[in-house]
Amino acid sequence: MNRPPLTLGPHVIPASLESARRGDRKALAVLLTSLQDTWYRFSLSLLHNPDLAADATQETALRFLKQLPTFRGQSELKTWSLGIALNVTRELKRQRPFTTDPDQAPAPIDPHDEPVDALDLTEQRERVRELLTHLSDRQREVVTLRFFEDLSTDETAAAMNCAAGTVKATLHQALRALRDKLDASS
Amino acid sequence: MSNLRQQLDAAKSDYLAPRYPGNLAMDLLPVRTNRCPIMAYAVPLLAAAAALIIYLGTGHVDPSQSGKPAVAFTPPSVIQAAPPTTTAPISNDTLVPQFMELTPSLETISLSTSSESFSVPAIQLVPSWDDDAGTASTSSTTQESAI
Repeated sequence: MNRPPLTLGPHVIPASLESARRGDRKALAVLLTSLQDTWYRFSLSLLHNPDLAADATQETALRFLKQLPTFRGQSELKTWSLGIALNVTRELKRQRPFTTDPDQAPAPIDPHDEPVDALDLTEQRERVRELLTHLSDRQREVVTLRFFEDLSTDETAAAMNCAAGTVKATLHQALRALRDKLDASS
Repeated sequence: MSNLRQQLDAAKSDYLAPRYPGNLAMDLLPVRTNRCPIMAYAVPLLAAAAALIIYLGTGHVDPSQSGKPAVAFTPPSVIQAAPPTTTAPISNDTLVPQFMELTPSLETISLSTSSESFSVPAIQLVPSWDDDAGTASTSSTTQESAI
């Protein structure tokens, strides 16, 4: 399925962005189509429930459309929209804190498992997913934005609406916790 | 590259795999109909024209449906003669004012209802310049008969 390129920075497609801010349906459709997968996978990684993630994606899109005229272009549109998705995900987790799909939840780590080096790639992924569940919500958000969405420290801070120093400290704590878990499991 | 970094990179591809099962643009953006702009004006105009034709074709104006209040027309009723009134005796002492006593009463007025003739002196003619002096002095009497 061909999707439009994710070139959503305000300096890349200012004309399309301005058209979308004026309510042009075609421009808005391009933006939504480009961002819907980003919002969905980000919500899914934090909620671990496909239905909840779809709901979060739709709610994110509604808020995105509502708040788009106020977007001033101080950050990338993707970063700004991930901030909206993050707020929506946090609200959903507060409303339904224990709605995790068992199919999406990683299996707990057995400390008597084989070492990591002997695991194949799929098992490594599963192990990392399981390790991420041991992190706090804030640490998981930082790791997801920083490593999986490839945002910079400043962009992560902008999406989380906090200082860059807070992001660095949280990321440091998260990586240390992951290493500890990894060492303990191996 | 550390072991943790390797595992994070491996998990990234797993993270990027899911796709949103739907189309937000189709779900959230309002669908515009491809109506011809001429039709947007033509349909109300045609409807108004049809209503006008029907209105004029019937040729009937219902005053109750107009905004002005309807004036009810009632045909004039046949004026019937008033029934004869009976005259009640009036006491002269209470109702008749004092000055009425000065007027002659019915007993004092004698109207001649008979057929005998009476004479009413004629009004003297104003002499005119054309008339003769002799004829101007003559008076004429008009004979009238009482009805």
